[in-house]
Amino acid sequence: MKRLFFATLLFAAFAALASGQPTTPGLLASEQLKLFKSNRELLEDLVSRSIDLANANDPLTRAKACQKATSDIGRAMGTAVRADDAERVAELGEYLTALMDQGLTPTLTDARRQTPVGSPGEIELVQFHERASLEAEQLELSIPAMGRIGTSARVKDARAKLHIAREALGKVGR
Amino acid sequence: MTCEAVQNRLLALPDPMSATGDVREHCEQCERCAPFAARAVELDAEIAEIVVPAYSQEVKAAFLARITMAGPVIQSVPTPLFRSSVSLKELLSRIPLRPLLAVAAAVVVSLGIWSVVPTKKLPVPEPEAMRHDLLKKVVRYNTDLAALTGPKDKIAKLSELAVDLRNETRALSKAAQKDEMVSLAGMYDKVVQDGIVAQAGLWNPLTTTPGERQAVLNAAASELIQTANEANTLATSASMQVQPQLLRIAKTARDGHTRLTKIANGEGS
Repeated sequence: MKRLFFATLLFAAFAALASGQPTTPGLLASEQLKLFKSNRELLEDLVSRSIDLANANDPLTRAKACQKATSDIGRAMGTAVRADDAERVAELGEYLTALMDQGLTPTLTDARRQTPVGSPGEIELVQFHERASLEAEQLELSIPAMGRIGTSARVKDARAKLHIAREALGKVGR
Repeated sequence: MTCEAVQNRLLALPDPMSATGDVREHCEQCERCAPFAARAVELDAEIAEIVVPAYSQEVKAAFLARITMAGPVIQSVPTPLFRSSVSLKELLSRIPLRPLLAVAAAVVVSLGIWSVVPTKKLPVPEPEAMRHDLLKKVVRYNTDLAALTGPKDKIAKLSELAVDLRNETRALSKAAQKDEMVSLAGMYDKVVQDGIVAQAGLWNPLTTTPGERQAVLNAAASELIQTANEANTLATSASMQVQPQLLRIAKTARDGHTRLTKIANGEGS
């Protein structure tokens, strides 16, 4: 009877231990390589944008670099949509929202603030703002609303946040 | 009619012999009720032969008074199964422990199996794919750099990016092929030469103190020489395909270190 009692306790202890273990303790070299390969092109583009941003001397130039970065991610997202990869679409949607919220919209706001009304710079700024807003709308609409991607909870969440970021971009200067 | 109903009817009759109709018919045919009816008749006859003791009106009145007396109906409390003074040891000795432990063990095992085996009724959550940490960081570097305006902060941020590229190089050096390493070396070139060194050259000494400028540039230079040493070490055990790119990274880092050190010492950009 004592053996049965302690064996039961031991089983319960192991069951509790197993349930608390992480499912992905770390990436293998092959997994790391696979991730790098799938992101290589996008990484090269975004590192170039980092240099553009570092070398920019005014808000409009920084805004243009941010807008190019969103275009880079938009291209990668198009590839993910064609591949019906919901998780990838959600991931890129999140990065798109971050770049819009923390990059494009703030730099455009700074540019608006620093550009005198009626100046030649303002015309260029307004035209850029319109193009950026239009592209942001197209990026949002490129995310399917039906099918495997459209019904994914993560994609729905990413699209909702992207929509908010796009609306904030559109309201800059108003 | 059921046997129970017939038997109750027989008992209710003043004379079991006087049963008629369905009751008599049932008793004549039923194997259970026929002997019951016969016994009822016998008992009735035996009861009739019991001598009834003589009684008086006084005895009758006393009897009636006793049964109609006011007071508690229960005159005595039945003895409980366990005494209040019974010890825990005695109590436990009366509980069958072996079957109780077996039941407890079965419950624990069942709970363990239930917690591990997924049930069909629970909704299966979407599996989360692995995400590339470097990509997430590069996006963040973009948003951070969008908010920076001074060379000091830009150099520090680009230096962080260079370190992350170094870490990725280390992680991939054993498994990567030529194309991946060429890509990494190219990105590293851009960050060091077009980013860190370029910003160091643009940093106007008049906009900061010599001590601060030297500290920032020396910190960045220190990371670059660490990268050079590490890339050289990795190259000694790398495949022929990736070794040239590791050496390229080492050279970029070493050259960057040299230029930053000169700028920090005021020897030109």
